[in-house]
Amino acid sequence: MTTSGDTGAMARGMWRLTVNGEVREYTADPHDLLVDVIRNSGLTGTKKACGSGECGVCTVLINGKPVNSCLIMVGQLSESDVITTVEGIAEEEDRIFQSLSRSFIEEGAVQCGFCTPGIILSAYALLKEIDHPSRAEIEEAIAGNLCRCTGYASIVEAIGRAARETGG
Amino acid sequence: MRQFYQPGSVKEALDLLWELREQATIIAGGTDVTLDIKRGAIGPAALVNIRNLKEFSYIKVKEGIARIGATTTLEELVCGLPGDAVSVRQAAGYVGNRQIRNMATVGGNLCRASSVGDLGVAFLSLDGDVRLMSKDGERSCPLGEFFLGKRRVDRKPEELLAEVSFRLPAKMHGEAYRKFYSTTRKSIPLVNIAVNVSFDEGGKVRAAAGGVSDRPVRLRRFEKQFNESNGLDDLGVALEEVQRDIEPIDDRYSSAEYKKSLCATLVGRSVADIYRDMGGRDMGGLR
Repeated sequence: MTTSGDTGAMARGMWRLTVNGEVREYTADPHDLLVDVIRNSGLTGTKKACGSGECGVCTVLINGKPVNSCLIMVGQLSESDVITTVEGIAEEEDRIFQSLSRSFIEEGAVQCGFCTPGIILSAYALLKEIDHPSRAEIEEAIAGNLCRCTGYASIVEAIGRAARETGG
Repeated sequence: MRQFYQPGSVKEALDLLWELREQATIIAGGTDVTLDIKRGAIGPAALVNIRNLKEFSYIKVKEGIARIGATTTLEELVCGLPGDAVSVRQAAGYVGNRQIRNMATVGGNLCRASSVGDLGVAFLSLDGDVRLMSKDGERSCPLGEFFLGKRRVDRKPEELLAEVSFRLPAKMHGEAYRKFYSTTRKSIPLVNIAVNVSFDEGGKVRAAAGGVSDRPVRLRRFEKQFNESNGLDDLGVALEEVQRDIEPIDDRYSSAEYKKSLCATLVGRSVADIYRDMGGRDMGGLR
C-alpha cells in the first residue's frame, strides 16, 4: 500500500497483489478496477464487457470464490487476498481444469469464446466445492455468466460431464 | 480528487469516520459503491474501505440469538446461517448472482436501504436489530427504526454498522419469503414479502413487505388483526388491513392499487401455505 503525506489516504503507487500464486507489484491508483490492472499486466484471459456486474466475463476467483473484477477497486484488496485468473488454473496437472477444457471442446460449449474464461472459472469454483453438482446447482453457479451463442445447454452438459469425470 | 482510505483496524476506521464525517463513504464489497462511482453518483469525497476488517465478518449463534457481522458476504449468509431462518437465506440467495453475493455484504445491503431490499424485509419480519459503533460509543437500533425513508437510514456519518442480530425462529414455526417481478423489469421486484408464523405462540404471525412504501415496512395492522382473530378462517378479513399498513405509489411498472392487491395476495398465500405445511402435524387446540 502507498500512502500520501500524513493524511493516511492511499495514492497512486506500487500495489502488492497475490495473483496466480505469486505476489506481484502493480503500478495503480486505488480506484483502478481489478479487471484493468489484471489485463494491463498481460493476463488478457479475463475479459471486460458490461462493467456493471451482469455479464460475468470479468470473473476471477478471490480466495477461491468467483467475483466480478469489474466491480472491485484495487484499494479494496489486501495482499492476503488470493486472486486467481483463468491463466492460473490452466495447468497441465490441474485435473478439474483439464476435464472442463476437454468437455467444453467435446460438447461444443465454446462458440465465439468471449464468455468462456468466466464460465470456466465459475464452473471450476463449483467443482472445487461440490463433487457431484445437480443440474440446478450447475445452472445456479453460472447464473452470473451470460452467453449469447450457445443457449447454455451445451455448457451445462459440459460442466456435468466434467463433474462426472472428476467427481470420483 | 477522491481519497481512498484503508484503515488497518476498527479503531483506525472509527477515528477516520470521526474526522471525515459527511466526506466519508464507507465501502466494503463495493458492488453498489463502485457502480455509483462509475455512474458519477458519488462526488469527490473519501472512500473508507472496511472490507478487510475481519472483526466484522462472522455468523454467531448463542442462546437462540443469531449475530451477523456487517462485512459477512451474502453468499456466506446463504451457506452459513444455521438451521432455521430459511427466509433470510432465501432472501440473501435472491440477490444478484454468485459473483455479486461473494462480494456484497450484509451491512452494505442494509445501509443501502432499498425499499425492496431483500435482507431488509427478511430481517424486519424477524424483529432484527442493528448495532452501530462510533468513536463515541455503541448503540442498538431496531431495524424498523433504522430505515428512515428512501435510501435513508438512522446512521450518523461517523457511525459504522457493526452487526445485525435477531432471535432465531421458535421450534414449531413456518417461514416464507416471496418476490414478484414485473415482466418489463426483471432484476428488481415490484413487491417482496417475508412472513413468519410461530406455532409455539399459537400461530402468531409476523410479516414485512418491500416495494410498498419508501422503505421496508412491518405489516403491524395485518399482524394485529390476524393474531387476535380465529386465524386462517379470518385470513381474508385480516388481509384487508394490509392496505392500511402500506403506502405504495404509482410508478411506470405498476399502479399503487395493483401493488396493494399484490402485497396482500403474497402475504395471504404465504400464511396459508405455512399453515398447510404445518397441517400434517397435530395442531392440537390451535385455531
